[in-house]
This record gives sequence, C-alpha cells and structure tokens, in this order.
Amino acid sequence: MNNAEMQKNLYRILRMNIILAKSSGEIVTEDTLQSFDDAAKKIDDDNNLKYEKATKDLYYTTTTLEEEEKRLEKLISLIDERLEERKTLLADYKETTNRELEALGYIKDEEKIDEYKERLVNIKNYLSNKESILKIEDELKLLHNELDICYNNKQLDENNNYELEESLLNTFKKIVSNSEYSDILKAVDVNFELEKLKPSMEEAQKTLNTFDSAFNNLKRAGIGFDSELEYSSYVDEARKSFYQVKEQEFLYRIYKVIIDSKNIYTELSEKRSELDKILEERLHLRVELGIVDADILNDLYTLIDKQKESILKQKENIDRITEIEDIIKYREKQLEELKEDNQKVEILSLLQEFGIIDVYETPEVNKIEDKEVDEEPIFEEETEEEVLIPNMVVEVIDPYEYLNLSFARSKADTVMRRVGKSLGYVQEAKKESLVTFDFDKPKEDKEVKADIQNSNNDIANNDIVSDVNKLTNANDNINTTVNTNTNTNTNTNTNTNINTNINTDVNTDNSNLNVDNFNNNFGNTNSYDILNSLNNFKMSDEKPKMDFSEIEASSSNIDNDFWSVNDDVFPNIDSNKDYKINQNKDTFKLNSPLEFGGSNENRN
Amino acid sequence: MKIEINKIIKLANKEEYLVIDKVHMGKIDYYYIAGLNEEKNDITNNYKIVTLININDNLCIDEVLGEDKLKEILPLFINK
Repeated sequence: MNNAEMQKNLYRILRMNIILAKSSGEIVTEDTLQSFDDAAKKIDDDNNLKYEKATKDLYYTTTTLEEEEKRLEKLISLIDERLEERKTLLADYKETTNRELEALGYIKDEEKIDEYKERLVNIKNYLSNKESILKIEDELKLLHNELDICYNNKQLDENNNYELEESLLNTFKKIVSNSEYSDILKAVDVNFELEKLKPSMEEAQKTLNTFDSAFNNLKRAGIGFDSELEYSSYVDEARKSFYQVKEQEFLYRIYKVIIDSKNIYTELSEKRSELDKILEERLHLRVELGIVDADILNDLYTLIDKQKESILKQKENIDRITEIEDIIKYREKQLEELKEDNQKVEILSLLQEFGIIDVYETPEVNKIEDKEVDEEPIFEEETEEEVLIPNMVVEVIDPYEYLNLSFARSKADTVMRRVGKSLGYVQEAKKESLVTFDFDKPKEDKEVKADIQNSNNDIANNDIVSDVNKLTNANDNINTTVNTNTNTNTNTNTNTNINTNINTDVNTDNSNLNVDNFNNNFGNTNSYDILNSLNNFKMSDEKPKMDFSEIEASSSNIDNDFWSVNDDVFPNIDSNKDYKINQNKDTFKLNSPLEFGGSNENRN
Repeated sequence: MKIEINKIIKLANKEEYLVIDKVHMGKIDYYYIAGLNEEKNDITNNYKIVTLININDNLCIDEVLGEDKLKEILPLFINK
C-alpha cells in the first residue's frame, strides 16, 4: 500500500473517531484533531502532486486554434476537478471538526481558470462561427445559382409571353376579319367606337324588351299555337338583332383588351382574367338569348385555354424567386451577424496570436469598411423596415469590466442627494464618507484641509484621497471637511465662499461662486457654495428658505437642467434655460417648465 | 429582459445607461439611471428617472417628467 493510500486510511479512521466521539459527547483530543488536520493536508498535497503531474504536459504553445481548444479543454477539466476535490475535502473536514482547514498549498493556475474558460469560449465561438459561415456561404452559392436559373426562366417566359400575345391577337384578327364585324379591326379609338355604339344598343334593347313584353302579353291572353309560333319567331329575330349589336360591343371590348400586349406575368395574368370575364358574359348572353348560330370565337376560346397552362406555370417560377430571395436575405443577415461576432476584439486578438490575421483594427472601422463594399442589390423592392423606437430597450447586460461601478454609483448618489437637498428633502443621517466639510469651523488659513475618514462607503478611496489632498481655496480661509453623505441637520449660516473640487482639477479661481454651469460631476461640490451664498440659506431640518428677489437665471446651454444648477439659481424641477424665479420664496414657480432629463450635449 | 440595479440598459438609439437605483410606488417601478460615456468606463452627467412601458410589444423606457411627479418620486430614492 502506498503512502497516499495510507494517508487516506488514516484520514478515514481519524474522521470516524472524531464523529463517534462527538456523537457520544466525548471530547476529542487536540492530538487527534492535529493528526486529522495533518492527514487532510497530506491528502491535499498528494492530490496536488497528481494534479501537477497531470497538467505538466499541458503547458505548451499550440499552433492552431483547434489544438488550443483541445489543450484548454483538458487543462480546464483538470483544474476544475482539482478545485472540486479540494472543495470536497474542505467541506468534509469542516463537517467533521467544525473547523476550517487552513494553510493548504497553492493549486497551480486556480486563479486563471476563468481566464482559460473565457479563452476557450472565444475559441469555440470563433470555430463554430467559422463553420457556420462556411455552411451558409455554400448554401448561398446554391441559392444564388438557383435564383439565376429562375430569373433566366422568368426572362424566357416573358419572351414567350410576347409570342402568346401575338398569337392571340392574330387569331382574333383572323376570326373577326372573316366575319361581318371586320370593321372593328379598323377602329382607331376603341373607346370612341364603344361610345358610338351605345345608342344603338339602347335602341336594340328597348326594341327587344318591347317584343318580349308584347309576346308575353299575347301568351297570357291565350293565343293559338300557330300564332304563338309566329310571334315567337318575331321575338327570336328581335333577339338576334339585339345580339348582333351586343356582339359588336363584345368584340370591341375583347379587341381593346387583346391589343394591349403584356409580357410580365402579373400583368398578363390580370389581362387574361379580364378577357375571361368578357367572354363569360358573352357566353351567358348567348345562352340567355338562345343564340344557336356557330360561335365565331370558338378558335379564340381554344387558344386561350391552351395558353392558360403555360401562363400558370410561370407563377411557380415567380413564387420560387420570391422564396429564394427571402431565404437569401435571411441567410445573409445570419452571415453578417456571425462575421460581426468574429470581429470582436477578443477573437481578433486570438486570430492575431495564432497568425491567422496580421493586424486588426477596431470593430467600428471594420464595419465601415464592410459598408463601403459595393454590392448589387438583389431585391428591387425592399421589405418594410422595422421602425425602431429610440427609447426601446434592446439589451440588458452586466456592467462592463472596466466600469468602476462603485464610483459611478457614488457619483449618482451624490447628485441625487444634492438635488434632493436643493429641493428641500431631508435626508436621513448616513455613515460619514471619506471627505467631510465642516462649515462651522473658523477660517484658519488658505489651505483647505480635507478630513478624510475611512468609511464603508464604496467611493474609491484612492481617488478621493489624492484629489482631496489637492484642494485649495484661493478665496477664503476655510478649514473644511466635506460630508458627502450629508446630514441636513448641520446648521450653517455663513456666506463663506467655498471653492472646492474633489476631483483632480484644482480650482484656484478667486471667484465668488460664479459657477457658470453647475456640474453635478462627483467632483464639484458647488451646490454647497450656491446654497451658502444665497441670503438666509440655512441648512436645517426645514426646507431652505431663500430670497429670490434678485435671482435671475442666466441662459446657458444646459439641457439636462434638472440636474444642473446655474450659479445663483435655485435648482428646481421646472427650471429652464431662460427662466426667472418668481419672487415668492416659497412657491418656487417658474415661467416656463423645463423638461426633466434631456441630453448631455451642452453641458459644461 | 429583467432590469435590475447595476445592470446596463442598451437602447435602440445606441445610448447606454447604468441602473443606479429602483423604487416602487403605486404598482409602478421607477428606475434612476445614468448615461454611460463613449468609453463605457464612467457615467456622464445625464441622469434620468424612468419607468418601463410597452410600445407595440417592445419594452421602452419612459422618462418621468413634471414637477409634481418628480417631487413624489424623488424622496423615495433619497430616503432609501
């Protein structure tokens, strides 16, 4: 049995000892605990040795991304396993002894596992994207080929349509020229001819109606069979006469449609539908009037039926073109997204590392370059673009790694409290922050001493400390500490001019609180200046009382005025670029309301 | 998409905001947000109080405007 196994056995037996002792209420000796501790540590050390042996061969430079992917997978798996192993040991130790097992050895690269995992994810993403890109590109090639064929077929069909139309017209002309209606083909303006025909048609219709009516009356009156036959023949003649006129009209209408040659499928299809309607109407009338003479348009009907199939087939091709174009559009969008994904900085740096690319530029530049490529549009008409609402939330993400979250939050908190204070909302006393201003202290000298206190505030201590140390007050002698989590119970009644910044810009201006643009940047505490400079301002539990008799806001380019305060203007939700505050100190009414929020464009 | 404190909201107009705080009043959630700079490493001086609304099945932010409304909501943030 090797040493490692012995240690494990020792661990197990000691563990059982401790558990049993605890369960029976006995005291576990320190020696036992120490031995258990030692056994645990030795097990951990053995595990570490095995781990290091297993990972030893995984630290080498790979030459391809695929290789690197495999290497990282193995390495990460081993690190995970090792960490899990230790976690299990620690948990078991704690459960057994109610103590933490400390002073364990370092697990190589345990701190790098997240980095390795991220690297692996990037590699996998790139390789997967690359594979998808290749597949989509192949598919697009096939689709484009098929689309070309479909368009060729469409062109052929359109050429063929000319022939169909010509054939139809020729057939019609042949039929009509051999009939009593040949004059129709001489018509220059068919609409004019149809108009000319109207009175004749009305007359013929009237005549027919008269015959019909008279004949019906006779039948009702009860005429003989022979008489009925005779009068019936009069009616037939009247009908034929009427039909002759109608036939002219039909032929003019058919001629008008046929002569307008179409080759594009949709137009041709519409034209043939219109033709069908006229022909159907004609047939219906023939049946109604009992016209049994040979139909002069029989050949035309036959031709139209014959051509119908050829025309309908074109629809399949047209539909297929639409379908392919939709698929191409979708696939191209997918392709663009995948390529864009592969342009991320993390991936580009990997590609450069493995010599797949030489250099890379920022993704924005790449995008611009892509857009400059001239591509012929496939579609003549674009589909409706999705209307983007500017304020629409497209994504919610975790904060960026390089965003100093606590600092940002602190800034925002300060602004909120400042605005609230200026509106007279009392704030609860909070923990003191790093920097405190104490207005009650007498002026001492020109140097401002910041009293920096450690606090539980999240404000980045280093920034504040270095910045506060640079505070100077060129104007007055103040020994100040700024309490950024202000307790409004502090009473100050001073007109002290404070010119302080707690950012790196040291303001040595000998100004009397001329804050052109009150900047709610975390570094500018001018709200205190402003408030203190106004007459009768008292920082108290009550809302501040101010005399606005001579206060007039100056126009400034502040958009987000709610959050900004002009130098001697009381901040108000309804503030505006050009506004005057009413004289009434309590009403704070303004002439024109300001939109809360706004852009950052003209700040400062 | 769940909007929570410390998350970043990306809008269709490319603006990005950090969610600083959230309060609830009268069945509505109000968010205090701050705009991010171009480098995305800090906030700008663009602060808003917004609610979430639905326009054509799209989640949008709606700025809270008006003195009365703001005076109602601000204390909730300040006194939190």
